[in-house]
Amino acid sequence: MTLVQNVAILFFFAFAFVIGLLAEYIPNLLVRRRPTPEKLAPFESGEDPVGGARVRFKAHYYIFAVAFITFDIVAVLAIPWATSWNMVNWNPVLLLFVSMLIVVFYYSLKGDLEWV
Amino acid sequence: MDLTQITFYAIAILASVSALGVVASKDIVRAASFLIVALSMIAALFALLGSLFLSMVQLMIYGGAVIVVILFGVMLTRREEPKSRIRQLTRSENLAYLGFSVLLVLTLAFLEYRIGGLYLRPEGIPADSQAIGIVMYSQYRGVVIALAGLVATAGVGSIYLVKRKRGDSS
Amino acid sequence: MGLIAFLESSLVLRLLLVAAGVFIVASIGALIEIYIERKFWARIMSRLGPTEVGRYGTLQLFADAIKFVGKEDFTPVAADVPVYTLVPALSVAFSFVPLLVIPFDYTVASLFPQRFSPGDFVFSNFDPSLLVLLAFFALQPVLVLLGGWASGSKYTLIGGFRSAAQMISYEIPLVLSLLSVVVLTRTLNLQEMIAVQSNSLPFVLLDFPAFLLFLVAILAELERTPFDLTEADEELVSGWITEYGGTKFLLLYLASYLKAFAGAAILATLFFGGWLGPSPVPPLAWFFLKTIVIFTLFVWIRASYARVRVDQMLNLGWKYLVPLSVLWLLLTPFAASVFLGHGVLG
Repeated sequence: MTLVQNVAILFFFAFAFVIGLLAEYIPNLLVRRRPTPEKLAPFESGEDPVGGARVRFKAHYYIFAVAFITFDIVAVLAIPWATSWNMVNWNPVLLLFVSMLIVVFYYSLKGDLEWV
Repeated sequence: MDLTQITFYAIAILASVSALGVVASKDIVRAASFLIVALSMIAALFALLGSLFLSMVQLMIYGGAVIVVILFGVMLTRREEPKSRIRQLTRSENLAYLGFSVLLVLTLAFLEYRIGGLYLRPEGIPADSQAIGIVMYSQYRGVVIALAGLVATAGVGSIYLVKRKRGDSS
Repeated sequence: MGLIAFLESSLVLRLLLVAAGVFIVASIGALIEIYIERKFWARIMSRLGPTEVGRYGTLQLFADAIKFVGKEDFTPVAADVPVYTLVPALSVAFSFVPLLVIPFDYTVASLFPQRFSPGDFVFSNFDPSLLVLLAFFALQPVLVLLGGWASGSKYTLIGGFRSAAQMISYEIPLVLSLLSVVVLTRTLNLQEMIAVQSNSLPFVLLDFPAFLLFLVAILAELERTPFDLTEADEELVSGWITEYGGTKFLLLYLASYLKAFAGAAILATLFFGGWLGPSPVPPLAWFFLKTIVIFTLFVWIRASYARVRVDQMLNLGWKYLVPLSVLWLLLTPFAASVFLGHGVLG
């Protein structure tokens, strides 16, 4: 029966995706495209656009992404534990979570999780 | 040609095309988008092999976290466009990667045709989350404990490295 | 009847019927949600909300939709066209798949009790169904980043980064608070979770801290106030969706209300018993009622709280919610043992 569930997920995804794509083409049937430079320029609250769109930003975002990926792995490893906690040894999961909490506390005490 | 085979070939073709797209695209964010498709195809393969658990975990970790880290890294830095795509693709490292991939494919084909393939999970064993948990936390708990150590090291190390680089540049 | 034989024979056709049915129910849900959002919020602020179109303003959304669809389809000059065009459709698709796993009651089967069993039309009774929901919520930050980048404007890019940072910061409390409910039922199958609740107290009482944690996390994931700092109208226009106009905007708007429907539906399913309720009212109606009431709670929160700043949001997520959700997850098995011992839990 697993094949049915997998097909169902794919089917739902394809269904909504196709409806979305079709919906995006409806205006092309109703209204002819008339692009002008003012319409297509990026929105900057009425000023003329300054600078390119690909400029360098603060690297602080990256810390959150890295922290997220490590903790996401811990959370995913805890999913099987959550369904079988009454039958297994708890030591590994406790170690996982404790190491995660240590990392969070260490960096928040050091001041690295502040938003600069 | 039953439904399973058709599905497999569709997924395989899409995975190969998107992997080619990762390598061949000029714009690096487009390459990352192709990578998302390739990783989703791997999730689809897991589902086809019968483990929806692994498929969704693949989407959560790779599509949810790894790709985000890659995109953050790519969008936060600026790099020059390569002058000639052909020259970049035929650099010695890239040819070495290509050579190794071809070797890997040949090895797997050899195993398939001479020994009948690699061992897969036999039918009938439940692969739901409870069973995975029981096996993981009793038989393989050493592995999970080692993973905990790895996670702690990776977390501390990577944040430390990013902080140090930021300290140097600003 | 020929139609029934046709339906019996083809899986694809049954899937199509179910997908269309879920889409219609969810769209009606989204319409009701948008109406409640505008009217209820307006009333809390002592305004009237939409009153002109339709009786009491109920057809306002249709008027807005017609207006949006009739706008010109433009692509910004610096945009990455394929990605820019695909993001709204993908957003709708990613918001729609989680609805597959939320147990509705497909009353189609009960119309033909001799020929179909409910299992033929219900596709949500499989083991890792909760994971499908978590996976598709986890895929949202990627979409936001690509959407902000593909518009070709540096303000949408900043908005995309901030939205993605917000979503990933609250992803872990979301997962861990749901895992706390999983500890009580020891299964990932949403239908079985409802079944457990049918002979015990609803989990909002048994697992109240998880309910609170999940409520905060889902508000942040849905980018609703108090966490809508990325679309703070005075600062960043509409955040990463600024450059999406016309139908693309409508699709993104629909996707955000579908996500809100999915989020409220998960709250209703896991904490309030889903489709359970006394019998004269059909299960589908109970489910719908609970979801809409929870969504009204979301609107009430939106109307009553101020917006948080980005550093407050990140602080709350990483320094408070993550440790709290870990601690509660570790405490839940003890609570579960106590409940099992007293026979409160099934």
